[in-house]
Amino acid sequence: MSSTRANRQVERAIRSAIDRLIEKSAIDTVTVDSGEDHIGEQALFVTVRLKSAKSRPSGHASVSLLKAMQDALREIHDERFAYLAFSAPDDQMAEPDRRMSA
Amino acid sequence: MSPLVEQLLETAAALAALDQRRPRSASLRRAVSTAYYALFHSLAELCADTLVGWKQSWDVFTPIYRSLEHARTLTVLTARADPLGEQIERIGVAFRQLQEAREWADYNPEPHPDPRQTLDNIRFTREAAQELIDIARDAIEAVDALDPVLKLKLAARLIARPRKEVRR
Repeated sequence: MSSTRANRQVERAIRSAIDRLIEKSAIDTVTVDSGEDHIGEQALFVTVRLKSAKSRPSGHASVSLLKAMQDALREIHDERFAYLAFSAPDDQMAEPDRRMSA
Repeated sequence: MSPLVEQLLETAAALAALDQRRPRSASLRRAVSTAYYALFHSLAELCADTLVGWKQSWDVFTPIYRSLEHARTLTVLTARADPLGEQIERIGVAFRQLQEAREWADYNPEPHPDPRQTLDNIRFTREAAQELIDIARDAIEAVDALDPVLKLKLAARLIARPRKEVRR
């Protein structure tokens, strides 16, 4: 699966949704990539890097943000689904796989 | 929330909490998959309970429960034409997010569901698994909170096949 950076208009729409629901000061960076999802549709993959794990949103807030991103995309006539992931310093990564440890 | 769905969420959380020092990929993958299946079972229960009822015998309850299909459920929950409202849209976005993650967890050898993260050599994390479990719990609570009329409408759409689809 390959992915490319999304264009600026899409990034602005996504960022406006994020800024409405997450404190700006809590965010380090936001990246928006486009690629194909599991059902073969073009989709967006949004990664919000938080400055601290304490700012990680609840499940309810994450669902609200997912919904807000879809609404923001619809407003610019972009029908792609935006998937959401958060990361924070000190997140515990899974152990390396066979390729990485080879 | 039924005992089975609650237990699936608890199992997912327990799997995500395993391996204190560094989580194993298999534990996190099973946690993600189990969280997805907790939501899937809650929707199957909604259909069977609403259209048949728990008090009926298994031979009429189980076929409806088992009629739920992954692809069709996604289509119904995220339909843009004739949507069922804000609550269903919330369940739909959660379902899609979880289904994408579950597809990776069950079938994809790459270390992260997001291809860009994989390219950057970033592996899946315990916290990401826990987030998906929280999303599943929120969506299941939303399913439980639907009013009876909306439950009936949703169950009918999830189980009934459009005429074109039936003819194929």
